Amino acid sequence: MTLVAVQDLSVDYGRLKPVRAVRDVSLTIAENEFVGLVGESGCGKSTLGFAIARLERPPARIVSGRVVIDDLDWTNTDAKTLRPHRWQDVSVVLQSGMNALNPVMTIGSQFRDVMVQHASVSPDEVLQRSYEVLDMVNVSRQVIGRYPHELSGGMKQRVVIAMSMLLRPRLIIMDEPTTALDMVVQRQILENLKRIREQQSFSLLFISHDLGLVLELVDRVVVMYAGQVVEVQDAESLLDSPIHPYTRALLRSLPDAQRDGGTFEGIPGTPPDLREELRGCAFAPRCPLVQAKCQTTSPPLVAVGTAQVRCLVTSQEVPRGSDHTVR
Amino acid sequence: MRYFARRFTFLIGTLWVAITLNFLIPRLMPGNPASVMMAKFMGRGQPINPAALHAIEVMLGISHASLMSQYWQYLGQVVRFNFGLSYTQFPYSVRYVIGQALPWTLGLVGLSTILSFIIGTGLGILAAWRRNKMTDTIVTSLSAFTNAFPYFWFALVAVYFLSFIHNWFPLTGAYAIGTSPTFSIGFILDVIHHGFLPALTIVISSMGGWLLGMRNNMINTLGEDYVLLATAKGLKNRWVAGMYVARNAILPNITGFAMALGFVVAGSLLTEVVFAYPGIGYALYNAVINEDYPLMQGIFLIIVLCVIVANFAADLLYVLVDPRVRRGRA
Ligand SMILES: Nc1ncnc2c1ncn2[C@@H]1O[C@H](COP(=O)(O)OP(=O)(O)O)[C@@H](O)[C@H]1O
Ligand SMILES: [Mg+2]
Repeated sequence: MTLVAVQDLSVDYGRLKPVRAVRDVSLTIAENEFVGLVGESGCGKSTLGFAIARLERPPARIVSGRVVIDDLDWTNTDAKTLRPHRWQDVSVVLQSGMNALNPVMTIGSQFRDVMVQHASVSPDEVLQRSYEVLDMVNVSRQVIGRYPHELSGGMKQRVVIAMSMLLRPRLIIMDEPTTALDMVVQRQILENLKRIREQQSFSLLFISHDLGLVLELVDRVVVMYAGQVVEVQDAESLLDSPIHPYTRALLRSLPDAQRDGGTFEGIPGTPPDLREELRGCAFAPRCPLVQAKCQTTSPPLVAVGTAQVRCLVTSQEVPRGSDHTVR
Repeated sequence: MRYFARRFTFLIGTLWVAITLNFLIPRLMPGNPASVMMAKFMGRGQPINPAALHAIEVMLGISHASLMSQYWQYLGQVVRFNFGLSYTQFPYSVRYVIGQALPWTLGLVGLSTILSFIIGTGLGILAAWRRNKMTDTIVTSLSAFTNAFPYFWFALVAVYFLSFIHNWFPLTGAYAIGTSPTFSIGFILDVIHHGFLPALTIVISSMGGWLLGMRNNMINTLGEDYVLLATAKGLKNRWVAGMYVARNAILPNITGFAMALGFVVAGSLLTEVVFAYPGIGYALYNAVINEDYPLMQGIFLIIVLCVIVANFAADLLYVLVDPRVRRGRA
């Protein structure tokens, strides 16, 4: 069952010579599916995540496309109608290190307000559910009475994750939830998420620049480059057979645990200026497999087996059944 | 508690420094109030009769004792709020003169300051929440305009048109001449009638500052992540505006407000002079004109006291409203 369907979504920053940060993105998230959204910093992941939750802030604006969540078109619904669906259907976890918690309210009251404004619940039920979600993320129940500044960065982020679970949402969007945290805490949170998945069913859009991290958690990976989706593939098969040259480069740049002292390989070059209209393939200037046609023809996103790839060269490499254009 | 103790020590320290300076400065200044008074009575250039001078010095309590013993004596007087006799309102004591004037100032300027803070902050919240809409444009440009008025000019214009030309409000005083303060409905209405215009000028001229400041803080706070998250949580607009935006945006203004309350006494000068309002500012004005040193000294001490105590109150208030400065929770 498809829970979220994003169709041809484009997001601009500004009106005069706008930065087109998200370009005709289409993707789906099934119920109970964990999807990872990866790509270099600045490729439009956060912009896309916020636009899906209709949290884009000026100068960002959705210029075209639709976001349908549980049969409701979120791009075509006014704020007032949308309000009851927020947190109930879609909750978000902001990048770690951002101050997502109100500094003058206790954790408990920030849990309470969202619960009482969405349903009529007794103080007892509020407390019960608050304890439940705190237990899920392994945070002491005592934080209920604490203020955000009294918690460490890792604790805060776990509290924020707990808060996102409060109303048992259908979809949680997490934008780099572990990026600012140290490796140990990062690992704990990842294990946490896996365990929570066993207790409660929800879909997850996990945004990160760290492909290695994403691969450990998610079922399916969406790779973004310069505002476009360049590859969509199941996590397992992606690890074995990445198709897009950019995905391959990302995988090669992972510090490989098995290879002792594996050299860190960056991707040479820089992404294109998003203010410009793209001519040909966006990745062509950095691509090791670039051909003449890549400079002039914009590659469509095509199905290669169960995967989808936006590359003129590699999509032809290994014929896996019949190719046909998805978009 | 440790925070409180620290602030309190600081308060006592500043008070002591202020009181000491208040003692030293007039005594380090050249001239002798008694000779000033003699000169005033007898005209300049007349030979001064040493006996008469001594009599006046005794009367005014001017001492030729050592500075140290004067200082101890002074400290004792300050603690008892005894600043000697006023020269100009002789034989009333400075304490009596201040006691008569202070309530009027606290009532008029104090209330106006509180009112302008409440109205200004409220409108600032509204303007920021509806930013770039009609309400915001009107309210913001209007307050930028009133904020630019020089107060003295504005007050004089108000008096000229509303009191002098149209006679809607009395020209001077805190109550009708010939009546004396009682707790009757008639008298209270009379006081309100007299106080309305000066209060209005204060509120109008200081409201704009609060409004613009609050609007600015609000707009900065609207960009905070926790406000974005509050929207994502699907909270009601009013709740977000109040608990997430305004509640945080007002924090920097709390200190400013407490300080403004501290400057009520000092800041009353212009208003009270323009409206001949019998408060501290008016008394200070007269004391300065008439070289009434004891009265000046007493009033300066009151002003400094108000500022320092308000500062202390601001610190304590901040602890109440901002959990981040609370330390050593019980
Ligand atoms: N407020 C903004 N104004 C203008 N451009 C922006 C703004 N925020 C982001 N961008 C641009 O949008 C692009 C995508 O940003 P973002 O979605 O934050 O990327 P990511 O999350 O993948 O690192 C970037 O190239 C950035 O320059
Ligand atoms: Mg980002």
